[in-house]
Amino acid sequence: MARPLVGFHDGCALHGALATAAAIEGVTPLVHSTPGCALRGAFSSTGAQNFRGAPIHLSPISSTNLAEKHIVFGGASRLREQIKNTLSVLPRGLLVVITGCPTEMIGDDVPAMVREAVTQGEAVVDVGAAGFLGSAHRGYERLVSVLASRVGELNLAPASEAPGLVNIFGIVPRYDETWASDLDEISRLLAGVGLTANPIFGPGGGLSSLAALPKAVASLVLSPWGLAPAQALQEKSGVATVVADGLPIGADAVEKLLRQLAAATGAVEETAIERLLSSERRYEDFALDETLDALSRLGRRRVALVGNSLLAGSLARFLVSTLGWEASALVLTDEPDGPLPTDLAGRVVATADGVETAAAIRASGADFLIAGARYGALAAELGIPLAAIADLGGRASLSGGFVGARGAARLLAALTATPVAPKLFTPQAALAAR
Amino acid sequence: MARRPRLQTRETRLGALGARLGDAESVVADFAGDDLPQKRIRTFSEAAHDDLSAALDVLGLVEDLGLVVHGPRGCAVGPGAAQESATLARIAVTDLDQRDTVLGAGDALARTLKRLNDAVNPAALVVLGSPVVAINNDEIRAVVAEVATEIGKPVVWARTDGFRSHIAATGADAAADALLNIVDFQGEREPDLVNLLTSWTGPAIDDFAAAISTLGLRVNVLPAGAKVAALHRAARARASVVLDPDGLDALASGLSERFGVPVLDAPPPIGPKATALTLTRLADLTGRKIHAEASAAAVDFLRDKRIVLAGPSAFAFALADLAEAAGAEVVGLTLPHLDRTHSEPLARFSERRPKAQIHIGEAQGFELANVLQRLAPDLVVGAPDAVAAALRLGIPAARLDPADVIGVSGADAFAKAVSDAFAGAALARRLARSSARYSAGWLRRSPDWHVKLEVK
Repeated sequence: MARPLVGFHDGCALHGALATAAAIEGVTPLVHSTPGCALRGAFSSTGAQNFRGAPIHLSPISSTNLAEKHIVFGGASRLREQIKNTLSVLPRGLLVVITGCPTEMIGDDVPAMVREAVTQGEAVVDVGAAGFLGSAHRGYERLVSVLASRVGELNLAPASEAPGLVNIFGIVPRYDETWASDLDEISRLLAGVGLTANPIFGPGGGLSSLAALPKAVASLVLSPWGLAPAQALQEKSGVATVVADGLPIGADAVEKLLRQLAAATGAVEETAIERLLSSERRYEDFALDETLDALSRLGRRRVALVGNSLLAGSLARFLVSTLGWEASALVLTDEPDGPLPTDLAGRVVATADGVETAAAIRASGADFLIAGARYGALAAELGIPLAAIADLGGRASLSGGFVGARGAARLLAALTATPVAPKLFTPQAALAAR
Repeated sequence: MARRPRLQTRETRLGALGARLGDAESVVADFAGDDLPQKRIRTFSEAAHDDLSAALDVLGLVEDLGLVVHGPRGCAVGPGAAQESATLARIAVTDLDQRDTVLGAGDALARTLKRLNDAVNPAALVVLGSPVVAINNDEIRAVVAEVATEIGKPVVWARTDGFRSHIAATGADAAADALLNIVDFQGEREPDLVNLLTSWTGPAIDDFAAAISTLGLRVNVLPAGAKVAALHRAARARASVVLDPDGLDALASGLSERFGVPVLDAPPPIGPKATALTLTRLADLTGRKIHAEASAAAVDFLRDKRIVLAGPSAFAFALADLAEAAGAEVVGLTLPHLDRTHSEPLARFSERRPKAQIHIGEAQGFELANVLQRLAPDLVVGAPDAVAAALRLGIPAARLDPADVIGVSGADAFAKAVSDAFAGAALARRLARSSARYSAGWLRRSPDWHVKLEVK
């Protein structure tokens, strides 16, 4: 049922599905909906400021741009025409037809149009991702689940054998802003112990990555949104599912993840894990030494964290277990299904609503905020430092991310770079502290 | 309560075209008769903008306006002004789910309006319609009236739906209609007050406003950076000067029709000559004395260069004047749409360059790639997506926003952009080596092969 959202996070399911499809090299997204649906997602997911024209950062998005007559009389024939001409204008690969709210409401027979193309030997698949089905993360979940469960039907070139292949699920391109960097660093870590990451998205992924999904020894699930795709693949192809505690931030989290994968796959040698962990710990030691002066000046902080479930919980875990800070509030803006992780912070809320988020931050009594840049005004009003981990624009995908010891180092740099107002002794503050 | 007529689309009101490729003289012929030009449609298209995004972009410029999008959550995210943090805080969405698409959600709209009002206390609220509520025929008008009475402040409806028009600028008209419905005309006409209607802010806009002030006039800048109070003041102004006719023409003409504020008849003040013309006409209209001159002598820094210009239509025609004054041959214009308001600058351009190509299409990158490849200009200047398309073809290009070239200094900004584009051509050479985004077959085809006359 509808609920008012003010100053909210995220796009809709269509936007998430679109961003996900567009992040797979060789996939052409075709949005079957009215104009505007696709571009709202394409622009907003990168913080673009200009309204005019096409999004420069994405590969072309085919769209039926339905008119009033299609709403009245149906848009199936328009879709047929668009599929045919998309195959002519854009490079051939996999065409993913994503349906929006209007076409779901008017009842276009999209599967029939897609079947027509498939029977002619074309690689086309349809995914229902109407915006009213939920968040952008839900759109990722729906699209990747369809691809995982139907990968054998997609007319893709067969994948070559890759021993120790691990599918990575749960990182949502663009909506988890550091997605490309995080996938890259996870790939590097897995390679360090003899595994091969199958990232699907970004420069390391592509159609061959999709085709290889059933050949993996395991599917690594890094956020709740990766669970359904991994389970779909497990049901269809028997690939084991390994559920991790979000992004592995810092050396300890890397160790836990590698041992989980070693146990699940039996394909990792202990010596390889120890060698990699030694290197990760040395890097983290270096980062802690470099920032220790600033950290000690900053003191122990009570932090309010606002972010997606991929990142926010892992950040809280690192801050508490490695820095000894206190997570006073955790706001999960992607509203994941299932029970909330109540062990991570004093107050845990799942909401996409900006007003509820601000209220949770205020109520937490935090003296440090880790959140999107949009909360800068609130941090200034509360007089607390803000380390911005979201709303960073498209460049965040190149930022290096937060995975591993290197990610922890970037986090430490961000925390200690944040200007802190000097703590002044005042009688009122002393009295309040009693 | 009498039902208001549907807002006219740009196609119906002005014969707007959103898909067309032809030489200038043939496009002039489209608008020559009394009949509206015949509509053309695409049989292949890339994702396009809609009226909802355009309306959100315009309304997001008014700093104390609360915006409620009545639709699924994705309808309320958007490009442009709506992306800025301060604006995000005053946008709400009813977040309709599947059940609401069947049963309607009038109650949700009322709740959302009241919640946003409680949260940010805006001066007024605007409801924007989405495709879902348009298809579902949700009642908006009654809810808006009811909530306005309850909270005691203006609540109006921007009549967007996402599909009746293929010209996104129709949304700017819907936004203008909503803003005009907020205006409360009180007091007397202010003979020394001039409205400066702009979608952009920046130093060049400030300088132009300062130039108007030298005429002894006070300047009311809106909607960019304005508050609702500026809307009320706008109704009392002596005249309106429009910097962004493609976005704000309906607001200007609405102020004229509803409140008797005349619109200054002048092209966008881009460069010294056009700026002097605008200031002179404004002085004449308001009974001031002026000694404005197009002082700087033209420098032909584009001599023998073949150039393509891209951007909002009125801006592109004005920039073409500037480019030709600098010695360029304008071989093409790529415009988001064209309508009857552009007839005069189009005809003037066609007289000078009858064979120059006019490409009409917003966000259609495949058309841009094909057209630019065929024209093979020395330089492309203007809109970001056209600049990116040019660079990917190895053509030097410079982004130039309208806000950069307003006023006397516009010529210098243009010259600098051109100079930088040629000096920085290494980026174009590098990008030309990247993988092709469109099939070789498409790039060999006629660039308007997929554009057909609509059969009624």
